[in-house]
Amino acid sequence: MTEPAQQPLTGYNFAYLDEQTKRMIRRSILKAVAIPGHQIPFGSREMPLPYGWGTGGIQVTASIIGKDDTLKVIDQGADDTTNAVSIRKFFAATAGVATTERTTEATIVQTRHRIPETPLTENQIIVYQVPIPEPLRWLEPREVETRKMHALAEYGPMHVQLYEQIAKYGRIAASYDYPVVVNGRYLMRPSPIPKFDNPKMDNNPALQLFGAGREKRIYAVPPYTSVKSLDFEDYPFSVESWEHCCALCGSTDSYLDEIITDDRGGKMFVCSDTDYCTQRQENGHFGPLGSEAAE
Amino acid sequence: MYVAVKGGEKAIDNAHRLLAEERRGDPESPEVSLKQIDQQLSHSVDRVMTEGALYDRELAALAIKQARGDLVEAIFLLRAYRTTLSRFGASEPIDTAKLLIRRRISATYKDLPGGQVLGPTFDYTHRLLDFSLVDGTEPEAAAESDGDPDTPMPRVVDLLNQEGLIESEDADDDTPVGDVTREAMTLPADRDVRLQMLARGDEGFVLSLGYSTQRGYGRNHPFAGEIRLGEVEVDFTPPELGFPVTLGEITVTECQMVNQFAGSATEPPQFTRGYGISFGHCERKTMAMANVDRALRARDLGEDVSAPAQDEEFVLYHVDNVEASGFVQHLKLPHYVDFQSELDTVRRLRADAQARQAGVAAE
Amino acid sequence: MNAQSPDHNTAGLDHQRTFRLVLEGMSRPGRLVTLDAGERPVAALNAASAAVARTLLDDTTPLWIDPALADDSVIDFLRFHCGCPVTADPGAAAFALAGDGLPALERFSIGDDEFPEASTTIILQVERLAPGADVVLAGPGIDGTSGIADPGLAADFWPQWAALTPLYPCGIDIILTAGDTLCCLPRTVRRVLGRPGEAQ
Repeated sequence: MTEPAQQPLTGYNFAYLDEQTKRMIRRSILKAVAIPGHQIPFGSREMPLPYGWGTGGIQVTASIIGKDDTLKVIDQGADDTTNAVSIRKFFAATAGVATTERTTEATIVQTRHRIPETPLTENQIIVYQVPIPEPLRWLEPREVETRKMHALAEYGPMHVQLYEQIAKYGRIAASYDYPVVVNGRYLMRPSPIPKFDNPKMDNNPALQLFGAGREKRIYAVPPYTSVKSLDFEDYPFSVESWEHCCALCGSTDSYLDEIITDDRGGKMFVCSDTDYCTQRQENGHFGPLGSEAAE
Repeated sequence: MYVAVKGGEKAIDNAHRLLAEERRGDPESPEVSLKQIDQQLSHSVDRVMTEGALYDRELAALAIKQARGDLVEAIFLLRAYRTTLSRFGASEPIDTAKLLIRRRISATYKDLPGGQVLGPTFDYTHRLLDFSLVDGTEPEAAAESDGDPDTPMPRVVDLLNQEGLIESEDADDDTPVGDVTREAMTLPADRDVRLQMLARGDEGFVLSLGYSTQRGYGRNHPFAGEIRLGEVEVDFTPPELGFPVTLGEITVTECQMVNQFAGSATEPPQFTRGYGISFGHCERKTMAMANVDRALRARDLGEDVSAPAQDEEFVLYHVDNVEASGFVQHLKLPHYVDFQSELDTVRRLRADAQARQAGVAAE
Repeated sequence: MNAQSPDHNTAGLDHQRTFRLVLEGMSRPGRLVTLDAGERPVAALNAASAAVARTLLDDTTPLWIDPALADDSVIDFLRFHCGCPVTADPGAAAFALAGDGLPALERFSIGDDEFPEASTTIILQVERLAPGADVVLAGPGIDGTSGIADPGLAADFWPQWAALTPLYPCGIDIILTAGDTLCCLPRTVRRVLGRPGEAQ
């Protein structure tokens, strides 16, 4: 579960990035914190992992992590998905830091597509991997234009887009990467988390940092900061829900993965957050299939 | 009983071992050496150095070997290595007028000072598979030039410039040169940044864009003023010395396109320029780059911006193959959480629609 | 390979520790953060200012220095540890290092609406940083309100600070330092009436 700190890889700087690069990224992070939700351009470096595979999150983590940190890396909520494994190994090798799968033991959580179900605390920083940081990108592909729209807080077109979905489908059809307004000012992409996780961003005690490597942007949500999902009075924001509980731990309030079990329409639902699910089972909570394992 | 898929770490380790095995291929066949790649696949090395933005033939050869000949992957390897290198400073600008010429052709003049030098080129080869290479044969020696190697070879654009026929480009030594590897690009970008992006850019993408300008999407009437290939010294001025010292010699290919003339009420008509340069011998790339450079100058020259090659934001944000390859291929990472979210939405929308239909039917 | 000398790496780890504390301060305005910064390296700078400068400044960050602080030892220290260019124009400074000679805030850069981050961050040495309720703050990063004892800022500081608020997202971020302690005032923070800990 938890791997202790080890001697970092020789031949490379601690956590891979050189000190000058870290200083540049650190300055960008401080500005990002001071202007919640605003995207700060930064001199993103070419990392030894491909663009689109978490290079922004990796650079942010590399710039904040220290010898005493304990790192957790998740992808789709799970610690053992291949890319999460790969990124965790990268930091175990280059920084020699302790790693963990337990949310409660981590000081830094790097994530792709989920926020852990276990509430974060003041002593934690969550780092999101961001593919496309610009919330207005699908409305306006041009950077020059979207920059002006942010400058003027000209977010009407986004409301129009959501309203058009209501007109067409009878409800807002956005499901993940659901746009939010941070601190009442900046429209922000929460990264492709399901909207189920959006409410966790609001007034969170932990610092939330976002890194987009290929797009070369860093942004942040400080602790205890308002994060509001866009909606309308008559069409309030709502999240995904399931008719089932988790088949393993019986949870009824966590985000579930749908798993196809045969080719005759058989399926089951289990927690996407593997640590949360494991903790619940260790504490004696079982779903319809989990109890069998306990016997 | 359902057991969640575990063991990602083991699977990755094993995949890496399999990859190494496949890279090596049949152990009975001799391992290819870096020297062989450098010497016999030299255009691959040139491309990897150019787009990898690092002049080191041996490292480029290593990257090609490690990438099993996948050049975009090799470029990525070289870029990732380059990032870790400490910077001591910037070299003096290279002077391509002083190139030790191995090849130099101009399409705009029949003859010119220094002459046309065909050099090593595929241009007039007949593309017939040469079966004598199957077992390898010693090539016939080329004749040595009897020309004086000290004959000056002025650049064609400099000759045009004497008459004021082409726009002049004076280096502005006071303005710092942009560097997209240190600072995020901001738009509109200046020409230094555009040229850097194009030089590092994917040859295929630049080629197609350059081609599109010739087919009318942002036509700018290019003439290949000059293409030159050769060796040039790189000088560096250490602050503690205060005078330049030569670090070494690199091979470069440079293309200067002479493009459609422009004039205004105050300026008499002049030809304009497009510029391309690469490490090593990358002629196709430099020519296409010069076409695209010229197309991207449309805004500066007061021309309509209507074609893809003229669209700075489109070109610069999509020209880098390390970025493009990573993001296209990231689609194979798991996205099942988002997909589940979409499933939830689509099921709700379908339920709404069915309810509406049922309501209509009941009326 | 980018092998680093052991010395270099030790400095790197020091910078990381300092940065994390600055980040904690910037994320939680009004929180007093104590650095393990050791002795002050030069007389005119407190230990926290020196540590923050070493951690954040380099040859890409023009620095404006309060003339009251800019003695030869400070300039030598900054040149050796940071290599930052020194500018006489506060409006051109990425960072400023100031004490009692802090000029009007409007003389520093506040960025513009498209690039509000192109602003000056001020490292401001104050008399004291201690728990208290003389200055009560609210804003992002603060659960309700937070408070500190009067740090001894000039009388016109808070009116100037309040005047910047309507210009948000443009603005200035300040790192207050005293001894080996710091406390941050990002541009989002407001001074409010009331007592620390109260909901706003």
